Amino acid sequence: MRFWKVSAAGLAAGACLAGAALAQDTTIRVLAPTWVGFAPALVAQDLGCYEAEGYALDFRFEDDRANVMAAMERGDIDADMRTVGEHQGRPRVPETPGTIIGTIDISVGGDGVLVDGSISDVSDLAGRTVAIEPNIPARLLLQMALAEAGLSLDDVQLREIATADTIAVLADPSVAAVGTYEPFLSQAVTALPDRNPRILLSSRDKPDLIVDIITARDDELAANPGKFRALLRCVYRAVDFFGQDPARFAELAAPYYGLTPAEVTEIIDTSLAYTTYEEAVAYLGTGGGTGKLHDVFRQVMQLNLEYGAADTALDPGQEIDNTILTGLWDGVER
Amino acid sequence: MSYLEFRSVTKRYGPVEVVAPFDLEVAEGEFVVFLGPSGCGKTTLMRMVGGLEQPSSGRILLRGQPLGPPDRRRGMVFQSYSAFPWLTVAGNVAYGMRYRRDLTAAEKRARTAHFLRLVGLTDFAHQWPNRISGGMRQRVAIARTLAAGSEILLMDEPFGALDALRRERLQLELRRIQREEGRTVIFVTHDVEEAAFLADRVIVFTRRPARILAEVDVTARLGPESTLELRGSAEFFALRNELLALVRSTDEEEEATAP
Amino acid sequence: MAGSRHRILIGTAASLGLILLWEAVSRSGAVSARFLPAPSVVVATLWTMIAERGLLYHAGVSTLRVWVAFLIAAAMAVPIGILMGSVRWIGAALEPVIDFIRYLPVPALVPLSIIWFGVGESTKIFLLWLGTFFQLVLLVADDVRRVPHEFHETAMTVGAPGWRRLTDVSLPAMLPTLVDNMRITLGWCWTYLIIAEIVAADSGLGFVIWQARRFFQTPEVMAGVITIGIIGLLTDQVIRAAHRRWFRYLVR
Repeated sequence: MRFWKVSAAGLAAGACLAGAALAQDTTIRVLAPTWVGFAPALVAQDLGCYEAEGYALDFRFEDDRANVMAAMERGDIDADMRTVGEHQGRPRVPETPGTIIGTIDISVGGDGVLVDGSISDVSDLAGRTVAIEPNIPARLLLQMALAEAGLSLDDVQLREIATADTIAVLADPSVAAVGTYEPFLSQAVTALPDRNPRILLSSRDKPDLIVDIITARDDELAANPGKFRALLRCVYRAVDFFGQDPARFAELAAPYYGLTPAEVTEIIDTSLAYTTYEEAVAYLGTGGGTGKLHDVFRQVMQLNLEYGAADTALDPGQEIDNTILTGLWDGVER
Repeated sequence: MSYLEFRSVTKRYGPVEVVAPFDLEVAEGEFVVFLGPSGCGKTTLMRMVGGLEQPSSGRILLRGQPLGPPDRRRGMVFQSYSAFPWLTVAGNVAYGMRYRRDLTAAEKRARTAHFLRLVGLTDFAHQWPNRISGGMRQRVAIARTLAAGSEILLMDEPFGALDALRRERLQLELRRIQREEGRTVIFVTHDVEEAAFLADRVIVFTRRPARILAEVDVTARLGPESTLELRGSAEFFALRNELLALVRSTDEEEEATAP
Repeated sequence: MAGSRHRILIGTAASLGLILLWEAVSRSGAVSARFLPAPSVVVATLWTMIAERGLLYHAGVSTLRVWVAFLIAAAMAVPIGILMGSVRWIGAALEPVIDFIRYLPVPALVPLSIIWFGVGESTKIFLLWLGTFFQLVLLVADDVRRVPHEFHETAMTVGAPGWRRLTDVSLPAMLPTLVDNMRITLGWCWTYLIIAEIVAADSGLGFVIWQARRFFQTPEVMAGVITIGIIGLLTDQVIRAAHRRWFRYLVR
């Protein structure tokens, strides 16, 4: 099937696109980073949920946010998943496609800042070199911690890195801290004993700051709200399933990430918590009202503007839409 | 009306004058050698006959008709890259007839065999040009131009890269073939002995811009036959020395005018 | 023939030596196994990936993508390159443009290619094509220019019309170098695989390698990289063998 698709693209790219357009009404097309936090959307497929709702899922991995924005601009995908902080980043303006319709997980220990043994407090970082990929959640943690200590990111020497190089970067004695995420966070602690690294800041201490949201493309949301209702129902059913049988959930999720079930379980235990429907409602509110996420949104917006990761102050009231979430289970079995 | 006629032919490349007004008549079946220092413009004149260069002024007439773009009546034999490496020896000879519609496939095959025999390459018909000697490759090129039906063979120092022995054998053969086939040859060389041995008539050129320094009628001096015995004769040496003196004078002229 | 056997022997011995050295370095602990797992570990991982994670399927997908993109690039580069090399004004018009595009970093063009081609196969093929076409077209143009003028003039003086000189002289004369240049650019095409296959990824070796990197599974990354290396080595050898077979006339 895929072989066929590849050759078709080569021989007649046009025909391939036309074929994709035909299936577009009943296919939920999602692009999301390679992160186990988004596993419920995939596991729901194994549970037969999309099929029962009358849809098919086309889920692909894409870590680069610029590519996701391009795909959404073009109308090639329906939904995206990432953190609130990343959602707000440049070049988003109020008109940019993408409205927050639900949450999927929150980071609980999955993001953090590693420091070498000589650093005991955030204030020790002043004037030292901190390596971090510019728009990852750990930057927000660092920024908040620095603010609480009366400092800012301007007081440290920032070096841009690729997060996958975390351990290699921290091996360099001139680097005092690295902002990163799992599995690098826990691996670095054991991998570099001579640097005596430890986790200075962890998302475990700020459970509401790093929230993974589900974003819908506005045009599709207006034209085909049923599609997003199906997506959210399936995600929350899979989260419920995780609550009942986490072992089976890990087994189903593992192949999508090229991991073993044990590795999946370990990542979930150390890094994140999936949000149930009720928790999502608490974040987004219902019936046009507001929830916790609106405050998180404003707080993160402030940090992003300060750092320069965003240049337009976005209004949570406009970016968050809880109508899909409202009455999600009316007339259907959960 | 003569067969081939140069009428006040000149050639300039930008400000550089390569050929001064040049007049010459060549008879059908004549073997004419252009002799002169390298870079003097003699090759340019020969290439004009092939249609590969255009005169800046003047005309070249073949049987009284001005020459057009290249065609198979005027075949070229180069010093190097004279045969296509991707075709066999027979394939190269047959290539001379590839664009001829007046011959059937059977006729083409027969002609290929004929000209291979004429140049003594029948046993090498299926060899690749890279695997035969340089002298054989030149014979392939000669056979190809003959097979194409060229009336005039234009040869640009074709034996320049060969050793003395091969050179001598090919010279003999070329002379024999030219007589047998009755073709006209314009042969460019800077080798005095080669000129004396092959030519009916030698045209000695000055340095650039090319001008006729002397015309030597070899047939009148040595007779029509070119044989190995002739090469050892006193008349041949006398002619050779005469030509050498002429060529030397162009060289001295150069040294005298050099700043 | 003995010479070629000799070459194979030296090549094999050198590779084996390198692998042994690698194994020794990893085992000695001089470099952490996290960054440089021993070859024995990598081979074991390679085997598990074939058995359990469909590595061969991903290798097949990648090979197909590379070949589709490469063939499209070649089908365009050969005629365009020949035109550039034989018609002076076309060469003068296209060369600066192609030289410019050739130096653009492909990764920077990914969002643009998504806008043009979406997140399906077309973008991946396009990115692979992008890395191949502009290199190949210039090589082809140079190949045409390097055909000795004597060949053209020989053809002209046996009465070959212009376009037949292209098919009967330029093409066969340049074919051996063309095949060599294609072999080299096919290799370059593989190096763009990672860039192409991490865009909206769902399959292929680039995807496998990138996913493993995301979870810091160095043996898996190495196994993926080695798979590409093996495919490259085999392809290269096959094309070299074909080259020797097709162009036997080059042997002196």
